[in-house]
Amino acid sequence: MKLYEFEGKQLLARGGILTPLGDIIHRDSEAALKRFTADEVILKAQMLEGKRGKNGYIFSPGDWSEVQAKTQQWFKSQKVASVLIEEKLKKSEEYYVSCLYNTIPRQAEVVFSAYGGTDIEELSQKFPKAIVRLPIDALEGLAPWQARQLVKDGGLESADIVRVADILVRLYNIYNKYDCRVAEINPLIKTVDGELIAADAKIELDDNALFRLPVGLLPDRLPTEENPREKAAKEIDSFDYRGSAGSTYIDLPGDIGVLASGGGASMMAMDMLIGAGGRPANFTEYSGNPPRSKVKRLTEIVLSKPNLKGLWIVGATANFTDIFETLMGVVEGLRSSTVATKIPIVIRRAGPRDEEAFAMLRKIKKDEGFDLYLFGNETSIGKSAEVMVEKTKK
Amino acid sequence: MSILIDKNTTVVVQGITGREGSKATSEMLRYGTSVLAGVTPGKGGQAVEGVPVYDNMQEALTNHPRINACAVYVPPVTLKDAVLEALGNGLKLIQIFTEKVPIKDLVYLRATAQKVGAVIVGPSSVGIITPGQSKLGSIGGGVPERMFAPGKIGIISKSGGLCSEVAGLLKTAGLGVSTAVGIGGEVIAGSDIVDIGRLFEKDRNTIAVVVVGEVGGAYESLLAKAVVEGAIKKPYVAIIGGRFSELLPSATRLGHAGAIVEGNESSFECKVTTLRQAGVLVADKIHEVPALVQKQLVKNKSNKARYGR
Repeated sequence: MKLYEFEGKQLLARGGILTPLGDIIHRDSEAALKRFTADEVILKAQMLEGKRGKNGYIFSPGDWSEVQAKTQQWFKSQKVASVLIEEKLKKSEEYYVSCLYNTIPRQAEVVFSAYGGTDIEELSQKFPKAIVRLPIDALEGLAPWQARQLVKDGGLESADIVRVADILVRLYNIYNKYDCRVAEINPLIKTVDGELIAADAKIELDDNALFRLPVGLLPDRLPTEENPREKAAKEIDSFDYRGSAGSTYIDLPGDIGVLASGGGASMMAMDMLIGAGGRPANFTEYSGNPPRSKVKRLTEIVLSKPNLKGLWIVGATANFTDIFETLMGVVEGLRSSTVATKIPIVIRRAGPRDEEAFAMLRKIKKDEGFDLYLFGNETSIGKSAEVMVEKTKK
Repeated sequence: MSILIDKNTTVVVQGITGREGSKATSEMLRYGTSVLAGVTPGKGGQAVEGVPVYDNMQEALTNHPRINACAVYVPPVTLKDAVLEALGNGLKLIQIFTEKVPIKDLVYLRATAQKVGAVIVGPSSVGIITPGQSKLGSIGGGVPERMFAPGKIGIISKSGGLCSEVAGLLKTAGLGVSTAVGIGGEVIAGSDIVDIGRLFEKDRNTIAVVVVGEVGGAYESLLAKAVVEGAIKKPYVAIIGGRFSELLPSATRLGHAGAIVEGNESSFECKVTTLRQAGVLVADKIHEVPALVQKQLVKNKSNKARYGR
């Protein structure tokens, strides 16, 4: 879960890192923080997309009417959840500090650069030596002496070594304690008064660890931009822990509904469909032997997209997913849909109880008028994709 | 020969009383794997499919000292503790079925396993099978022989379903499998492609290896690097899923936790290009895999004839 900047800053503050004085402007509220004059503050749209500076979502107002005008303008976008109004910092230096997982050594690492403020990707291309990294031994953690060594290697001198290293250790502790995937401060500003303040916060929490986040810390936010199908699909897993269905659902511009099974096979199936000239209407996936009720719901969601010309139910050869139960879920979803009888449906599945499942499907095809085309693993995923594309052309 | 498991593998199942744990136990027993014990804290004294259940690993190992492998089916909340218990009791092969495990726990477990010289396969691993001898985990379901024939081709797969799919394609083409390993599609894998590849290098019964990879992460690129550097010399065939991610915004998570394209290295194009440059044959479609394996074998044979190896 990605955090908004202001939520990230709340975590930093809990971990003992200074953040600017600031306040949140909600859609229905007035700008606060009037103890500053308008030219002493900065406005920052709270959204999950990056590159806000380049895209005009950070603004220095001249007077309070500009604050109001800019805020209202930003709120026209559903991507803007709120606006952060903050004291403008008088900076003398900008640093970059972050913690993240490096999947090559399969360890956490802390990263430092004395040249903060710019995009780190840009910096690493232009001046790779300006960035220093330290892998963290998970059994030992990050010791202050290691952090001091790192920032000195990164070019810091005198007392800054101790003070920035201290921030690095605090950031690592926050990262570790709250199960972050990424915790980045860019820039970490050294003010003209010598204070170190986190001017930005980019924090992403590990979705698999949200269950152990301290009570009250889990952001309670309303989904803003998700489309109704993506939202409905996500909700399937939140009510039932068995297997997974719909945790990934993405609407695409095509006309073939896809109900794929298996994390890896679903991706490969999409490649096959596109390779065969098909245009998928969505990407989604169920796996891990979900109960039929979940598959039913996901089937309904896939079929709710307007103007479908076909439905492709596809997977590789399942190891432990019950093909009969899950395809029964599909059938229940088809029965509750008004379009299912009007479009060709190609099914390619194999695995535990597949023979029972196909006997059931043949009967349903005969009795209930669905336009079903049934394939097991004697037919390749690619071939079934070609059949699906051909059927939608008719 | 084979890697990781063979007919002498004897198994303890953690979380044996759960839905998937008990099902996997009955499947393993049916396939001829010696499942000697299960562990579920608080349920000691029960039995699952005739296999005795113990409250802790120490009791299980005291009563069944021959146990040398562990299959883990506990929920994500208790996964770290369960694996530390297995490692703490000296087990050297741990296969984790559990999905949705916190990344921090995986990193910690991997560091611990390295320290004590143990191998972790997973999490989100469908299992390991040496056809005709043994299987550890859910791989192949109740009737693994339907898809997995004994033979000389190794399989390393992030995906469970595609692992069986590839084995079935090989079988239809008259090829069999030495050992197939489901490594899972996580961000942090207990064993990555190269870790398992190094084991296949030493296995005289494996003459070629098929890798089922996908977009996200760097494990496929690390394979290419290992081939270029000569750490891996056997012929490889790969199939990479997720080309369609090119149509999507960056950093969209796809089928697996690790399947996120962020930056160039984790992209489909980069993986396929670096693998091909290294000499790995990359299939465009999964059903082309057996033909490419045969092509690699012929090429390798003629190389051997030429260089007299």
